[in-house]
Amino acid sequence: MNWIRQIIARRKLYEDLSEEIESHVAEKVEELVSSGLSRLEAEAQARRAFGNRTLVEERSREVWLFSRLENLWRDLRFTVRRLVKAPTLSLTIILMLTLTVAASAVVFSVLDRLLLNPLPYKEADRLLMPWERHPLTGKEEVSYADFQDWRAQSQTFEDMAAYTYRSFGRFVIGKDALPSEVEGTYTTANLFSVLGVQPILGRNFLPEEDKEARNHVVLLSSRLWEQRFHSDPKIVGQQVRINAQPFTVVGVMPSSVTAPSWSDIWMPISLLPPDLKEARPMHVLEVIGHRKPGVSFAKVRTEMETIAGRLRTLYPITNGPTGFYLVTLEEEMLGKLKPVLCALSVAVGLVLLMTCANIANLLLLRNVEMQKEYAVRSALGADVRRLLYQSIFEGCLLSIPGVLLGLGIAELLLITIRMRAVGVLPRAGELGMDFRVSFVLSFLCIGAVLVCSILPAAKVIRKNIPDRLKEGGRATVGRTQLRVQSTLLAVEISFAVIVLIGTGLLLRSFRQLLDIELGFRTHNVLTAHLTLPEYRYGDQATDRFFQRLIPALQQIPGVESVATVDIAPFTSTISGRFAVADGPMPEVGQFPVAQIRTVSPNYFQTLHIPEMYGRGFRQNDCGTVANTNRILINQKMQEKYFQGREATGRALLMGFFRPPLYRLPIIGVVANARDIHVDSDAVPMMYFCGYSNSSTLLIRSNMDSSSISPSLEKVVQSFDQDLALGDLQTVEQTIDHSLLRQRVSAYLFAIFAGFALLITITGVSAVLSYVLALREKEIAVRIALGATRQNVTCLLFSQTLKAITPGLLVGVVMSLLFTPSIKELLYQVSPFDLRIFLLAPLILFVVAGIAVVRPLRKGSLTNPVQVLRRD
Amino acid sequence: MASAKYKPQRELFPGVLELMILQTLQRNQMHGYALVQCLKERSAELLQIEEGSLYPVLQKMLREGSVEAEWQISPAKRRVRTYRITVAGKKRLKMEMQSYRQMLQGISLVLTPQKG
Repeated sequence: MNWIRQIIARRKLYEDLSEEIESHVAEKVEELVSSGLSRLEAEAQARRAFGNRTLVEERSREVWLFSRLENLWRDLRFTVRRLVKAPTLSLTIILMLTLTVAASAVVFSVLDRLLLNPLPYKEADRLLMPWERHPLTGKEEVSYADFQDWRAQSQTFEDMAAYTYRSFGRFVIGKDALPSEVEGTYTTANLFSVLGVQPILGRNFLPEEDKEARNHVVLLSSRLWEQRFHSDPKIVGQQVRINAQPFTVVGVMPSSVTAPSWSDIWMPISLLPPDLKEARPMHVLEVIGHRKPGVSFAKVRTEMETIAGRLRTLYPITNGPTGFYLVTLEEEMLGKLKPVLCALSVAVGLVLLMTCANIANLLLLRNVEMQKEYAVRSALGADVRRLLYQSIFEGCLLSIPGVLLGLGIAELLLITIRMRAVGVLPRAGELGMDFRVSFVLSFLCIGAVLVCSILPAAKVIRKNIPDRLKEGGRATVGRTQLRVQSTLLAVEISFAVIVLIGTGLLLRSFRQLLDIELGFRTHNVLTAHLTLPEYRYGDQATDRFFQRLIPALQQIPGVESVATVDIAPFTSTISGRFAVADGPMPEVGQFPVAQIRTVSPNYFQTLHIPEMYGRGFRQNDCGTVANTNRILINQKMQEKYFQGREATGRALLMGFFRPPLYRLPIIGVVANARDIHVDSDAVPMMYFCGYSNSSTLLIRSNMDSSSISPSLEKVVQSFDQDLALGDLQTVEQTIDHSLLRQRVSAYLFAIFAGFALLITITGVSAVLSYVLALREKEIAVRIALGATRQNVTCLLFSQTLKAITPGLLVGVVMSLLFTPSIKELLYQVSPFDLRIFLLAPLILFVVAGIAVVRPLRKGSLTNPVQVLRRD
Repeated sequence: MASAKYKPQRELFPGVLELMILQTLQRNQMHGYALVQCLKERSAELLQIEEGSLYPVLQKMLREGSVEAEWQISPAKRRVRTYRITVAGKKRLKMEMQSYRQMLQGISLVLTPQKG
């Protein structure tokens, strides 16, 4: 500990030493003066006799341990001062590193967690999702009856669980506070045991709770438990009201590892409405199965296809065309994300490499001054090790703050994504900074900067000092460095071209999506979900409720029109099979399929969907008696099934799976409304007039929707205090949500493109500045011999062209290889779109041109006399 | 033709300066300048020690604890830093002197011409 005391007291030690030496010399001077010498002579003699005072003091200080530490501290301060004197360069490097490391850390951490890490379930590689498949509608959920048969007959699955969360899975939950809508799921008792997920409180469902007698139990998500029930540790065993019925809480599930991840409550599947359980054509379930160990995917698929074939034979009407489709749980959850994440990873990887190359270029440019400075300092006696330490400090000071800041920003971004992306991004709850990603990024960035920082000092140590100071040696080294810098620049520009072209394609595609004419009004239309508990609201009570509610809501100031629909736009689908009445009867299992919507009479007026033929709905068209239901169809249905001739007055037939057949007279045809997916065409659709227990209200207003939401809640509550509106959002917000994947891809690529352009500007400017420094003398001689400013500008401009053209060409060629991989993300845009392929390099060319204006101007204004005299 | 007279210059053995300082301080405590004068006087000016070379050695002995230092006012009314040998310094001096005498004896034996 003595040395610690010495470090603290070192200033006093040094002061004492200086004073002591001063006193020694003064004493000697006095002695010499008293012996007869003049003061001046005495001082000179005293100094000679004493020796080199500075050296003596330094040697005396070196005796103490901390002289080395002090040297390091001095070197550090010197380095900081030098960096502060070049603020543009230092801040540019730190900022570039911060942004690049932040973006890279986020994207690679997400990629690692989502795609490279196994799912957080027990033996996740053996979890499969079997689906049913219809030739007309593609992949379909599984019917409850088919699921029971699969479970009974399969030998390749160890166990199978099923759940459903369709729109009838909205629940009003209340305990002591006001009720609120939550997302709920009906599930078989074994879902969480198949996934291998344990509750954090309480227990899973028991097998007997799948039966009706004991099925008033509920599992809560940890998110709901924390937010609604304030993490009450005694929640297990307590009663909560769901849709005004009492349920006992048996457990709390960890939100991040459940299926589906955004569900707030789980209830036994035996609570599913009977018509959904019993009717084989009702495809409502998602199924997760755990295949037996040692059984291959192909074997499972073969067996399940055999079972599906058996069911087709046994139930030709309902299962006639029903095929089978198998996929791993991982592929199902993450399949759509893979192309996006891979494209983003490539883009961010390119930007990272560009940043490293650009920083190398900037530091190499500084090499020109640094080498000469180091050579001079070395010639004057500077310890070469200290030159090296200063270079190392410089590299660390430039790289470490940028890397640390970048990692910090990345962590914050990941926390934000984790909190806000649940339900949007699969496995969002698991996101976090990956240690390996942080380590590799830090190593790469700090390493690149350190290498480039140490180069000038390393060259001085290696080479003969006189060579360093001579002009001759400089020219040879300069050409080599120029080649390196030009290569780095070409690499940067080629990467920038790829990123720009990718961005251009995605932005164009996104623009196409935004410009799509959806066929219905989206501006200032608020949607709100309302669930009426079935045990209190039968069919007639439901009709009466909405017939009173809608006019009451229309009285709210600002509200222009209110309507209801059972399936909100862009949320879900429900389809049915039909035949055209008085037309040829389709083969068994070949019935055409159309989307079905149940809407209030003023639905089309509210959404401004034009009525093309016939008439719209009136109040007396609304009813629930199937054989008097009058329907409207859309133009797509008329084109496809009525050969484009007016369908008004014709009829459809339904009820093939549950006879008797009933006839649906068509009273009108409306325009197409694209409300399934923004990027999919209109599909055949039929509209029933009526109301549903689980409905979405559509409120068109002439003002901002957030200002009318409280009034809506108040009116609903005035009708029934147990009711609550859920999912309040505008149609525009719903569309935004459905385009989230495309929007995020486009915006992120745009950010990377902007960054790539910035890097290109600094890179091109750095290289041209270096060329100028290298050829300064030559330019001075040319001007002295009569070259004009224009000649010099042309010369330098041709240098710039030589530097950037290879990069542009290589970038375009590499883009041709890269863009097909993002085809899935593009909507009505070719991956080889000529306009984008021409525009991107042109933009880069212009940007490079802007970057060289300043160096060009500086070069053309070279004063030959000054330059030639300097040497 | 005048020729330059050859004056052989020899450096002190390593550690000898330290020994001489300790020996001098054992007799009396003194400051740096006085120490230099004392060494010159006692060596009959045979030893030409650069005055400044004392201070790194004094700092080393201070760090090792062989000497202690304190500021005093000299007769010339000047602030001076006076050095004093410590108990550890005395022990060190005794050991080093023994070792030095052995070394000198050995050198002397080697350098003495052999009879016969």
